[in-house]
Amino acid sequence: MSNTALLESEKNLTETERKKRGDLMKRKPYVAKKLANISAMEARGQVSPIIRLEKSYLCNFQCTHCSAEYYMDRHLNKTKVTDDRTKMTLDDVRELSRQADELGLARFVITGGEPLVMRDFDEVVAAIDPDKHYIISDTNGWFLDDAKAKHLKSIGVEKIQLSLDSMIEEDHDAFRNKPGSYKRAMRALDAALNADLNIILSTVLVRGRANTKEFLDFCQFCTDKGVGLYVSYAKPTGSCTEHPEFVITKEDADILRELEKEYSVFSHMTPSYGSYKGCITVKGIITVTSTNEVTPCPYIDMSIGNLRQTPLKEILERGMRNPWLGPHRPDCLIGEDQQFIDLHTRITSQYKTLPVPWGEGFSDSNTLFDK
Amino acid sequence: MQLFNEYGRCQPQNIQSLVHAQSRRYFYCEQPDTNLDEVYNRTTQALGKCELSLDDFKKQAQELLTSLESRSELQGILGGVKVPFLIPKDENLDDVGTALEKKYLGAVEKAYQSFYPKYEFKSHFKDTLEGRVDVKEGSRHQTLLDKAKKQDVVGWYFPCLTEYSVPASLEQMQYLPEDALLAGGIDLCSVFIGNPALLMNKKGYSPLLWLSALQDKKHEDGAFHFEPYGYNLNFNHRHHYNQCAEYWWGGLTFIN
Repeated sequence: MSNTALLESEKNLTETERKKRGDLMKRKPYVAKKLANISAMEARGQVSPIIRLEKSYLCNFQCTHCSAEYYMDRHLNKTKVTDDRTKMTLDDVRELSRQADELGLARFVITGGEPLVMRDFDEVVAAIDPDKHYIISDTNGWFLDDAKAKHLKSIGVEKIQLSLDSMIEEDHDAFRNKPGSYKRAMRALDAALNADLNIILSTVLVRGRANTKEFLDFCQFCTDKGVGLYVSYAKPTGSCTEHPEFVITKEDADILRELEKEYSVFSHMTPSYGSYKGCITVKGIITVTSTNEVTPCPYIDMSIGNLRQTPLKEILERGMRNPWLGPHRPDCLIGEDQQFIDLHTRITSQYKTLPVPWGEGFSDSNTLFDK
Repeated sequence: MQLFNEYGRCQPQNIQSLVHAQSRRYFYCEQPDTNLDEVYNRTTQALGKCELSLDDFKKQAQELLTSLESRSELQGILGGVKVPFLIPKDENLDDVGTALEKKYLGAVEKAYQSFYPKYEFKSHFKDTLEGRVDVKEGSRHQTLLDKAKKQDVVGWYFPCLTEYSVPASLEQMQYLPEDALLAGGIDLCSVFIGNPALLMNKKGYSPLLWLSALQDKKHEDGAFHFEPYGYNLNFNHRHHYNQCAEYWWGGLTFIN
């Protein structure tokens, strides 16, 4: 990487971020250099998605808005569906890590389900390789105490994305269908900070919430704590399919954009470090499901390719030439574009197992006029 | 084929660069209030006095619009968004980048802030524009700059090159009447100074507007643009890689 590219990438960082990068550079220089190279890659027209890894969907919660519900064994059992597709192995994870590294990709998020109930969590981290990639774990916080947080740091996890759905304890617990989950999340927040893990809180924005006192209190809490609040729009997929009333309006998104000026709050649409990607499908994120399918976003249940059949590079190219996914757009495709939402709902509803394979949902013959 | 459809979209002719043949009109501009008195006042407040009086400006703007309306080849263009603008005479336009950086972008900020005290205009382009910008050959944009050096310019802007790649906008120019100019920097700045609400859209999403007539001298596929961010207005630069997107629009200007 050239010095100019390094300087370019540093230009838009905050002081805190610069410090964190400096620390990472000492501990994991290879990973730090890759992270610093992202803006240069984007300037060359290359994509640099975060890879969300869904190796397992096991979960100790049953949340009202879960986007992964239809992938879970409990759902397949309930609907009496047998899933005989080939499941991801640790070798698949190693191969994905290798291909991602070859493409200069630098970030993995282990997600699920609830990652911290995975029996092979440590092996997955090792298979990704913390010396090659920046590793993040999602969690609902239930199992994240001081000892667990220290252990995660020791095996190479750098960051935690802790989900919290309300600053009001009863509301959070009700939304999560799990009494005590708010208290556990708060304990997890402190545990992660104590273990010197980077942490952001993540929360789901449902219609009207951006304008509530509870949400403002949440923004204030995170700002005071020096922790970022990542806001994910409620999407009409997974469990949320039955809650179209959760889907946000443009006004909700705009209120959030205004709050970004004052608070440490952001969404996947927020410009970061000088990068203005807008909708991050393929460009900023992909999900790899437990059957090695690559989807262009955590909430779109249509595959752009299977890693057992097609190299990652080719899958990303496919995604970028798709008229829905590749072009720059400022809004959330699956959260705001009603035509795409309808198309997605119609196609995915015909399948018993998700995601819909490449060629049957997304394909090279897609047009913006698909209905 | 008509040059413009009923929604004012310039219909792509036989061009090789990327452009959407059809549009589902997902991104859209609302027609801003084109009160000519206010356009004049905002412009002279932000850019300084001009030789034209308010009455002269109104008369010339109206005459220009009437003449465009009467032309059969332009039939349909008025079905889309149309925005009047005024550029007071400016002799310092030899380097467009410098003019934008030293004068016009600041004036956009002033006008936007004054119109929307709660929101903001921001230039996210951190490098200098000085010496960085050229006028593209074939864009006819130099005609506007040459005129603005000599006199006040009255014009109308039409964001009608909807879903065109930047090169496609330029390519389309060969099929358009000689007095159609590809929009660039100082005209688009004047458009926003006079009409700060152009990209304000509370219900849906407005498009990004390219300064298609201007070439970034540092990056062949780099270009400058205005775009909304919620209720705010941004100026920025991005690589377009000759791609097209529903969100990416260019525009034409006609001047007196």
